[in-house]
Amino acid sequence: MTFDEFVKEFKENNYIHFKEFYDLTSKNVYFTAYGILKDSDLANDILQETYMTFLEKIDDYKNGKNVYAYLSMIARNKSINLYNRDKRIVSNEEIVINKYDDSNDYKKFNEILSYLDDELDREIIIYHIILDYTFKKIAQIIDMPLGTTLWRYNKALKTLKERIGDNYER
Amino acid sequence: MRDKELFNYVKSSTDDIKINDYSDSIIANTHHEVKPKSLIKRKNKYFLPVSLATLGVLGAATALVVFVANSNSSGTKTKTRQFHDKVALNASYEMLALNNVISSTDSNVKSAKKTYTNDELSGLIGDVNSYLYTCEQLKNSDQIIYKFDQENTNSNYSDYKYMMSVSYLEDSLNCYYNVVTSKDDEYSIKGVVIIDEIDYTFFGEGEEENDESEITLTVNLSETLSIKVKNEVEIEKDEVEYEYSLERYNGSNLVESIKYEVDIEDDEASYEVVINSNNVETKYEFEKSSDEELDENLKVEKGYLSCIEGKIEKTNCENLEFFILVYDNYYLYIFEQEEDNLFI
Repeated sequence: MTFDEFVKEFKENNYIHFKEFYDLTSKNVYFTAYGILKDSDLANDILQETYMTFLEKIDDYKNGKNVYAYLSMIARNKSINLYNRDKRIVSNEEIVINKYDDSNDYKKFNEILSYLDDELDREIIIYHIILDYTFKKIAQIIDMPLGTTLWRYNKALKTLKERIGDNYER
Repeated sequence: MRDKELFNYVKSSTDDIKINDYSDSIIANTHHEVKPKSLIKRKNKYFLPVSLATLGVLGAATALVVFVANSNSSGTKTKTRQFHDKVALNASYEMLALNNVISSTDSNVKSAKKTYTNDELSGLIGDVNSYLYTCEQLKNSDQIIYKFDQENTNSNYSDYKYMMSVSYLEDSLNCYYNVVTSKDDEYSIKGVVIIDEIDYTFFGEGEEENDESEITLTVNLSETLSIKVKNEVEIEKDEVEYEYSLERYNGSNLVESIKYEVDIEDDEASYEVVINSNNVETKYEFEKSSDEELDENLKVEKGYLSCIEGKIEKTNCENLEFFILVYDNYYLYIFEQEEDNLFI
């Protein structure tokens, strides 16, 4: 099915193919949230809320849009709101950092994220390398000029190369 | 560590992470009210009397269509839809590339901020810029948005069954067409594309295989002038190769041919454009470069995004090599002689 066909069904409250749609798009939503929140429980909450918002406001969705990026934008906004709310409650930065999921499955991914100090750089790396978004789409999601997005990506890549390269060669 | 290794290392870091399935709980907790359908306004003033006159025929035809549709398996219907989707996707690249050639507006080509007085070089760089733009469009083809409909509802083009709208950045156009399949993966296509509010008829052939697609279209610009465009895409593992060619004809005489090749490997692209006109061949090459190659004494504005190495080879002319620094809003072309440098 095409995404337009999925949306057409959802507008009629027909969710017979929703699982299929979810399987196609949930990775994008989850990692968008995780990249900001760095906590799998919170990311799972945002994952569900994102789809609920998407379905409840499905009439606002216009055919032809990039669904992945659209869902990422919803997830991103919700994640930032939650993160800012959490920051007001948790003032100790060390506690926020320790909220990284420390299970084995996340070890390598978290290590990579930890090499990048800037949150936006982490997001851009996730969007482009993990989720295969184009830079143009990333620039729209993070609301930055394309040039700045490209520049940040190259800078982040250089940092990762230096940090991972050291460990990789050992 | 090589770029490819880094890319793969980062990409594989999420392989073991499983996403939980919340689809059931999401549906259970979603509250959405279905919007009532609004009346469709008919633009064609002749529709009502025509529709009354043909109601009987339509009724019978509808019954026949329903009978035929129900006798198809759901698997065949899906495969047909997928096939037409691929045809529409490939045709969309062609349509946008045609738009670059035919359209009088070039809103998305980065405009000149400042030019020096070397008129010949300015003219040359204008061409280079447009070729580079088309190559970038092919490379960023995933940003091409196409909307394909199996039921053409525009009565002004009622001869055609399918309709498609295509857009890339600020460019957009519509086309209407029919597709006839011959063998399994081969088809012929005929239709009309609207560019700058002018209708251009076209016809052509295409073929779809697993990882390869090919389509050739001939577009009529006037009674004597036409353009033939051909697009081939080949995808292998981490590499994508686009070949796009354009031939201008005056009657049956080939006037000019332009061939684009875009190779993408590990997210890095290199471009080659070869133009043949009046027995003169001009070749443009573009490849991402390190700015270490630039003269360290060169004074340029900082903050450029990337550096491209360019080369022009022309019959009976000296080769011209240059660098292009890509800034947010413009390109800076850097030649050996500093006074030849151009902002465009």
